[in-house]
Amino acid sequence: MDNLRFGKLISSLHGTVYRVAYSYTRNHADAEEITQEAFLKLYLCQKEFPSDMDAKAWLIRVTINLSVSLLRSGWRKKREELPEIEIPSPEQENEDLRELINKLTPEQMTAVYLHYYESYSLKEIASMCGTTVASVSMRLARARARLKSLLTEDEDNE
Amino acid sequence: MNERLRNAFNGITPISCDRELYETTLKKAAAIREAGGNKRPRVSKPFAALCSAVIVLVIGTVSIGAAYYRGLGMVLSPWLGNQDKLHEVMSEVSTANVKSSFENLDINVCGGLTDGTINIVFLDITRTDGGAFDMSDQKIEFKDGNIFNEKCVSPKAAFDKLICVHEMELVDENVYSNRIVYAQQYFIEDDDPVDDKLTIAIAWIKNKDSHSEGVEISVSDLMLTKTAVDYEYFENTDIKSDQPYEKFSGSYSAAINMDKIAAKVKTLSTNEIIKLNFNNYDIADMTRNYDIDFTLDSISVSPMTVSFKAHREKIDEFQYMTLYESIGYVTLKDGSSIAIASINDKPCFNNQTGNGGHAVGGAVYEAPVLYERWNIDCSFMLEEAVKLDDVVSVTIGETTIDLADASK
Repeated sequence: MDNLRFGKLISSLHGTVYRVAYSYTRNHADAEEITQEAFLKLYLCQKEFPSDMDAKAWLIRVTINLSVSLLRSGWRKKREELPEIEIPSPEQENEDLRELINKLTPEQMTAVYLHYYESYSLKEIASMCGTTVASVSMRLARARARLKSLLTEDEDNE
Repeated sequence: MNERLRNAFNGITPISCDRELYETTLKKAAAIREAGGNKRPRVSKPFAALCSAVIVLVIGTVSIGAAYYRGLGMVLSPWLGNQDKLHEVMSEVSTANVKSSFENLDINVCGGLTDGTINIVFLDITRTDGGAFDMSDQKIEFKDGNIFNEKCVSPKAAFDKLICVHEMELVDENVYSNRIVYAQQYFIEDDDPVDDKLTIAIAWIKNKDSHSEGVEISVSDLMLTKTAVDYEYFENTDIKSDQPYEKFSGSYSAAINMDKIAAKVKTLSTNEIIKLNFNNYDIADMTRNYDIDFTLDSISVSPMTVSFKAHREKIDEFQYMTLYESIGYVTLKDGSSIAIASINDKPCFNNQTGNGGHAVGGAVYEAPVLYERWNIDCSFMLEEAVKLDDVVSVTIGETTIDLADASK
């Protein structure tokens, strides 16, 4: 892949890849590492991507695979987490919702992100996540139900 | 909600900037190339090696009315049936035809059930060389040439149908025994007509290095529900395609209930008009929603599954449709509701053969097609395990059936 195209892909996909990685790891350092690894794989791979959308779908899939690998690695399970650096958000409401989203499972959060943020169809998400449309549908349904329940709890507590 | 979700995700931003990522990546790539090429440490062989994962399926025992299965020490359920047949089937699955074609995969039979006509074999599939679970591109290739992964045919060597249960589907990987396992179902894609004499393999897939203890299931809670699509033949009026149509029938799903719930079923009949919402999928993946009225012929509720049959006379527009997402819910005695979710990605009815309603040959069916009668016969899983006695009503579409009244 030529450097120019690679640079453009980074510009357009850095955030996407990072968010997918974060959906699994819930940890900025790990998400950074996975993002780095994913883009390195993209740069080094011999694959021809007919379009940037194809490259994006490929990258997301690789990111998910890397995230799953990292989560399952023995090293990660044994290490102790350092306290996360809080990145202040200007909007409390978004931060609150983000906290709720963080309570979803990695699979649910990824499905929600890819569907509502990246506007991927269920079929595309299923392909990227290596699962079926029914599973993705179920994850979204559960995620919505969970968010709804958490939001309701939040409103009751206020 | 969508806007809020987007804004919430916008707050998850990378720490490093694009420039940093770019420069670091190029440096690393240069270092790798200098060190000897584009070789990355691999824990698995190329795609053909397949990285399926470990399926550990530990069969639970049923204490009442059970018999021991020799050799495995399994306690069979009320499905006492033909043990010789089961033994024969399990022996077939264990043969070299299944195991030896694959280097990094270990397949073992860890149990089975039979009621004399339907045989169920439990497989334990282990990836022996580590690595992440990924069935999307990987294949298990059997000696007779059959290949399966999620998208391919099930191996015909020893069983008609493979149901894969993925660890990743579970909500909480540390608590298997109390969770419903969602089985992915695969349609039988050979040319033989489907009958009731089936051998079904249920495989639990996870990685070798997973810390999961496996799954305990109660054999008596294993249910089979037939989700057959039964629709009329029709002529292909689409001038873009000459694909033949076949009557679609005979798919089975297996629901494994982790909780010990008695398999009771209440069946009701009704002529209620139900309005169901469908997503219309075409080859370009454009979705459109339709609200269509059906006459509800019958509805039955059992732990974990709601089944219903409905029909509609003469629909005048059809491509292929998927009954999607949540189609309803059950209401429990305590007033809470539990959604009914689709358990498979196959449409409840379509105008194509075999594989899940995707356009055969890539054709887009745009011509209107007339039907005399359109039947639906669907089963759906409940998202959480329920006890049948706790269910007071079932809502499908906009119709609510009160179980207490209807059963009188």
